[in-house]
Amino acid sequence: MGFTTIIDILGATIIGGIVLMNLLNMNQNVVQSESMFGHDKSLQVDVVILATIMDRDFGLLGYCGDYTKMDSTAIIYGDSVSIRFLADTDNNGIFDTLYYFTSDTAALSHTPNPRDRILYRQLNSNPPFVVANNITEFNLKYLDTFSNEQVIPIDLNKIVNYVRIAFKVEDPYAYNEEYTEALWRRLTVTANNLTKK
Amino acid sequence: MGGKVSLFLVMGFAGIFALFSKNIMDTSTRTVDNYAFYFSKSQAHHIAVSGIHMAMMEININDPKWTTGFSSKPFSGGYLDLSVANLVSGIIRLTSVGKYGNYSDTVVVTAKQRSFAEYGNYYNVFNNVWAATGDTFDGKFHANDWIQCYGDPVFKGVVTTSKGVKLYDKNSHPKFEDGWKLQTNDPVIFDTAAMRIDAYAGGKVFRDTTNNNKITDVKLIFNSDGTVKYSVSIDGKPYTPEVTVPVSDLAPNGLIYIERGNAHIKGTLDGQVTIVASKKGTTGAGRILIDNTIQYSVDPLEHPDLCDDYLGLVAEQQVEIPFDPTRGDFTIHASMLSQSGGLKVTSYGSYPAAYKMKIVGGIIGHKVEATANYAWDPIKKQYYPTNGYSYIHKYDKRFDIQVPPYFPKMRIFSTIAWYEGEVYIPAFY
Repeated sequence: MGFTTIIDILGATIIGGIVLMNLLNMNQNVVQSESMFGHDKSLQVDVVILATIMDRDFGLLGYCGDYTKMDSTAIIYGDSVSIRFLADTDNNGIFDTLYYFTSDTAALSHTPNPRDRILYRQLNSNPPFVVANNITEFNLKYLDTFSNEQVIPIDLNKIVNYVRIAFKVEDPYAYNEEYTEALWRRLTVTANNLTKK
Repeated sequence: MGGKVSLFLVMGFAGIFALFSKNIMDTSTRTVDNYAFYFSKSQAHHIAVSGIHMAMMEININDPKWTTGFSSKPFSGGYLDLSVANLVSGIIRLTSVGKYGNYSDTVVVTAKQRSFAEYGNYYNVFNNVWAATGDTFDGKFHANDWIQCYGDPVFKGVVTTSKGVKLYDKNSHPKFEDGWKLQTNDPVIFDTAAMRIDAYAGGKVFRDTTNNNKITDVKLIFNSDGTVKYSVSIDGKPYTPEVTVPVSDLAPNGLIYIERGNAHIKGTLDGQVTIVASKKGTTGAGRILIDNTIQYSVDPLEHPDLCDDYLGLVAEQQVEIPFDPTRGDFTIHASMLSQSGGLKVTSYGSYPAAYKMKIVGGIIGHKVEATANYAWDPIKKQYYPTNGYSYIHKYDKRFDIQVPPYFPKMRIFSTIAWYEGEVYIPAFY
């Protein structure tokens, strides 16, 4: 009777231990999965917001509510990581200036991710607005009518018919240093308003 | 006892896992929602853009006065609303709203029926002519044909073509400083009847007053004091005595219409005039002949802000430079439209030398005309003119804003401004 009880207890302990180990392991997987899903979701939200803003801003490149002011060039300055261009964002017939630029990685040195930077959007002389604070790649290319890449920097004397935009965002924090990432690329933004009226 | 503990442990962890599982499922659902938003918003945008293209097709191919629009038109899984508003004569605004699911997006496009005078060059056909190295085309350029490029011609304005750009060989690299794009074929045609009505309403009509449908020739010599000296010949008879009147008295609305006749012009214009020559079925009429320099009282290139002179020459047959070996270099300030021909230099091969024809304005015609003979310079390794006239052409940029009175407009509408609305920042949780 006493021996049988001990066997029961030992057996139950071993089986329970195995089950417990499995459950702990599963719990760890669940936590990791939830962390990654959560980060993925946040990144995707970031990408969608950023893409929505940039889609609309770059669609306005060169646009003016007073069409007689529109010309064939509207990019005041453009290089691979920043662009300043004319666009009448509030459709009041007066050109506004939009400026997209990134910080260096030191601006986010307090985050574990060594590559993340801040992407700013500045309208006229307003304070720069942080569009994204987890950009790891932000790349602009300027193409002519035959889709040939134009030499940077771009200014108002250079004809640009298309702008190619690509950016990547990564999580500033990661589970087990596995940074999740999301990439958005728009092959060409046709400059609908960059022709002389 | 231990079995019960194990059971409790299993049930407890199962419960905890169920909670995590719900969170994971919720996160997945939101992730899908997020992309569903972007997809739906993009789809709504594309539907709105498609609406604009469909409306432009209706207007430019079927009916230029189309204002029906679309109302809840099913399209690509969503719906489309589109309205057309006439802003001023020749300018319309299309507002297209694309709807997909719970999302909508709006695109507003302004389109304009351009005047032919807004072009530096406009031709129906290129034939076997090639734009070649050394050619510089100023202002907007359009061809209802292939734009054929040999070598490195330079196009300084926007180039549009109904067919595309044809390169002679792999070494041909035309420079399109303002880019190029495809545009609907729109022949060089103008409505002579409407212009005649406008000329009767407030301009001047020269015609055979004997009602025998004879050809009417009119000489117009413009003076820098705002007057014009004119005389008329009907059926080849001697010209009437010259009469000098202010341009604004002769044609208050600026339209001078010569019915079944020809115009000979020269001088210095102080005013705004469009001269039309109709042929009314006769091959010997419908010509505008530029006898010598015709220029504005103020140079439009040096003083574009001060110059308020505008000249349009509209010939149902063609604009001609009559043969005159004593003329030498001369200047034309005008936008010239030749419905059946081009800018023709008569007997260009008979000139004793090569001269320059300085044109400030536009050349609009059915076809490109030859104006000079060329020979090959083996030292400079390029062709040079030997007899006739070569162009030195500059587009009059003032025509982007204002054109000569009643100058013919194109049939099609061109997109001049494309607005996709202010930035919308989606809210997620």
